[in-house]
Amino acid sequence: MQSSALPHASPEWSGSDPAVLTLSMFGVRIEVRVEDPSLVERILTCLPVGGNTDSSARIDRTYEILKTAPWLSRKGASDSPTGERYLLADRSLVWQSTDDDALCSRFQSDIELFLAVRARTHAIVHAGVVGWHGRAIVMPGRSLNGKTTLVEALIREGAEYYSDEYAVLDPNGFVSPFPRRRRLWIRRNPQMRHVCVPEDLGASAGTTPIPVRSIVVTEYQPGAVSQPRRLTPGEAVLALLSNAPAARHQPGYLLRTFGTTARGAVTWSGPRGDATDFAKQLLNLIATTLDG
Amino acid sequence: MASAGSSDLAVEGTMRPHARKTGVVVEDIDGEVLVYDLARNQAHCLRGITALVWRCADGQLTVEAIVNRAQEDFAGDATEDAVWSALESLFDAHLLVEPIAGPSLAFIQSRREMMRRIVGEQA
Repeated sequence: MQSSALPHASPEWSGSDPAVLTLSMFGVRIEVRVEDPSLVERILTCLPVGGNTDSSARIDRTYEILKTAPWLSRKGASDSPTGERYLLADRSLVWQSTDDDALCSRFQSDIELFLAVRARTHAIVHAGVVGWHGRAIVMPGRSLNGKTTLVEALIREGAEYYSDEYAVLDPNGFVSPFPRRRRLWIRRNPQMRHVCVPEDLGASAGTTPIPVRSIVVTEYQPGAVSQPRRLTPGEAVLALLSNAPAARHQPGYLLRTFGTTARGAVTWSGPRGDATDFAKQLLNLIATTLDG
Repeated sequence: MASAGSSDLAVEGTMRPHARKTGVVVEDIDGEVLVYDLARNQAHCLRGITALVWRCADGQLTVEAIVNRAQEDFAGDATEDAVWSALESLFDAHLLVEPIAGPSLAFIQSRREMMRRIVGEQA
């Protein structure tokens, strides 16, 4: 069975002033207007990698990053005296800040979420994903439920990194890495996180779509003794659906796609304790249940 | 307090439950039925007798006929109570076009009525 690979290209920059970047991905077309040319290179690093530049498609969303407050620019005012920048999506203010890092971070989150909600060619789920022996382990879950920690533990056991934020599922039950620049936010302690790339942990990063073999619905609970129970394919679909930003927009497409994914996978559910112990337990469970 | 006597049960057996088939997205997956309620943005996974009752509840078949159909598919597990329980679950999930009063629903309603009276007398 063939799976549809993600397109590969770079966002297009027209070279105009202000800069206009266009990006098409998952059947969604986005335009980004950057008023300050010195910020363009920085903005490019926030955009999903890949995508194509189908200029015939209509624009689904326009972002603007401005130096002047939009409510003042109409009156001919100049740049913000405080150095603030303004992020707008379809003319609505999303964020304003003097901190470029914060603004870029917010821009990246917003554009990724928009793609997750509006994707037409793939179903996107909040999930950690690793590859193991050519098949994927998908761990759906919202932010702060321990996905990244579990992904880190699994890749330390030799798994291949795919994502610690979004799983990109195609209608054939294959998963692709989310097309962002690879990074992992490793929690060193409750107050501090450290950014690294999978290679820093000795891991390789998957680039091609692979079939989903296991879905693991889990959440960190201090002191929990992991005793995962099997879920039915229908329950697995519900778990994926509850972590899909597009659930309200295209439930029919998601039910079909998740149904295909769940039919081809085994799903376990239950709280977990320590990530390292659970990673070992999970890989052993897969070895004895699926490989044995 | 009202009770569901044998004559009530006979009447209830002739009711024709009607599952909502509009405003929902339905997907079958290995015998389970996934129903997404577009109005409430809620998803339900129906299994076993509940899935069968959902499929059979077309507004034409009586409860009695659905019980017979369930007994063909599930043998001993498909008691009349189990079918009524499935209908209750579907009703609670807003997946029936209109409410249907089965034995236990009648009991629940009478119990609620009784509680209202008790509370009313104490007030």
